[in-house]
Amino acid sequence: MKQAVEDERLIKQYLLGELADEQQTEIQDRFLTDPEFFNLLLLLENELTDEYLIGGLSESELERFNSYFLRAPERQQKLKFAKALNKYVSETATEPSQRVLAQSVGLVKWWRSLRDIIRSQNRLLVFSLATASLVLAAAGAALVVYRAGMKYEVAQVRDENAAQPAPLGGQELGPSTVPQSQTNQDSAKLKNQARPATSPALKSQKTGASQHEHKGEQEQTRAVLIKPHPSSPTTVETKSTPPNPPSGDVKDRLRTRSRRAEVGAQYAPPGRPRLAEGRPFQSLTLTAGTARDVTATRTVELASATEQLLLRLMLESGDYPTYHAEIRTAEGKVISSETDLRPRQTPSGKGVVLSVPAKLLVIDNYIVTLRGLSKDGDYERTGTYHFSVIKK
Amino acid sequence: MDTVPSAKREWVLTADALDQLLSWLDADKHIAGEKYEEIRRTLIKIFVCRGCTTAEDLADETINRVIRKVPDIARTYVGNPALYFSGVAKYVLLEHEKKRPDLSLSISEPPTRIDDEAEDIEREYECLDQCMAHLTPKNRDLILYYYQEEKLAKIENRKRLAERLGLKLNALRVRADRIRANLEECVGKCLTHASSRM
Repeated sequence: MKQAVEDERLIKQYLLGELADEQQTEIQDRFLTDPEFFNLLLLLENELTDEYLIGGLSESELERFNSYFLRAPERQQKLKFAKALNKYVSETATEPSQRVLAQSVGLVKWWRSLRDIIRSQNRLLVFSLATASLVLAAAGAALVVYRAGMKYEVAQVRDENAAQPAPLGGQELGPSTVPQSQTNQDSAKLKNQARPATSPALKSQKTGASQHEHKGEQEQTRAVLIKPHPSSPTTVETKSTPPNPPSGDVKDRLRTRSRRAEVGAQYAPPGRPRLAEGRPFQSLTLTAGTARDVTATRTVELASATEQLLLRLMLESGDYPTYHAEIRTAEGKVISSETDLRPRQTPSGKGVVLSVPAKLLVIDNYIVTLRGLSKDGDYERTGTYHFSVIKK
Repeated sequence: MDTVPSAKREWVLTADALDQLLSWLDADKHIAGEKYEEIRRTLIKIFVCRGCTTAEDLADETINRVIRKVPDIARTYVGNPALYFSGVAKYVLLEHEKKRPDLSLSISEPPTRIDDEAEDIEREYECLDQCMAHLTPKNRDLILYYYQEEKLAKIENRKRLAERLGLKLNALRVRADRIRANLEECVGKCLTHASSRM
């Protein structure tokens, strides 16, 4: 354990270029002779990048990270990937996927155990069944509590709105949200679960004039001599088909965003059911961003039975006692606006919640502008939020 | 711009020379091929870690130099051949750094700014979205849950996840990193594919 901690410390120093030459040589020797140690390097390289992104590095580490670690283009690419992953996770899974995990892991294991007990007529059968009943009862109770909570939230929003001055434009507005729909899961797998070798069996040689001349010959020579072992993780290429590149087509983009929203629907908090036909509301959490920032745009697929869309606008900075929100179409037509919105703590952080009647929303792109009321009585823009609506 | 140290101009890689290298790495040709790939992959990473922008070229130059030496050392060399690569790589790196003193290991020059890359991130995100769809539901759940939250909350989150999956925290860490590596590779291919169509 102590050795593992020491190894990690050493590798981190190596990654930041903090080791003396001699130590660097020693550690490089270990990378070449100890695959586990090398894998630890790959893992820590990613973790260091993540630490950077969440501001977890010390001042000196940050300096080394910027000036040394990021020098190689591969590292800059790695950082871009980490940023994208970070955004994806925060958008798609802002709430824990405990339900999904429970289904995929806990319940499956539980069911298998129960089945085995029944088959073997084990004495524990009665006890197991009793436990199962308790689990089911607890889950049912959690569901009831959750539904009551959501109803309370909606009622609270409506009460707040009723107590406020009539909305500009005469339309009802209020709080909150998160898209929820059945996920179409792509069954394709990345077939190679082990970390695959990134290099082809034998790379072209690009060194020196003479080698350039003989490049083709060298490649041919190597290709003939080194044939991949059927089971070799280092020579077998990942079988996953490269996905199609992103298309600039608007429909494609909408589809992509829709799929993203569907994936997000999997990550409802414990006990929270997915939106089903017949439920009166859907919700969507929005973070502020620019129109160019596609990652900040969310898509909600409104079910026909939905009556209210709850928009939860996350606050990035500034703390005003009340806010004014205005929803416009991409063409600039005001759909709704609301004043005197008070910030509240949500599971994803501090935000302002509004409720939009679903009937006001057609298939379109929408922009929400949020302004905070300053002490001088002026409204100051605090964020712009983007979302798209599609309908089932 | 990085440059690769010049090699002996008269030298040409031949089938025999490569065969000798493989035989030196292992008597079994398949295992030798695996070892070769592993060494090359590690060398590339080492050069990346040392701030080289032409890491693959430097790794290949290192291998070429070892191949040239194999006829002289194979019979008498004692120990893990991989260590010999390490020694040669050290010299290749030294030569490389002499040729680009402005990019030596000093920390005087910050790297290229990466802030102005909104479009890159957008493309990356789109590819990631597609690659996520290629993961099994179980792996997708794991990766999304594993990277949720921040700092202390993240640590607690991972402990809970490990418990639920019946894994030790470190095993979960390794598993998540493997899925991430697959995703990263998939995104890389997607980006290459996308740029080739632009």
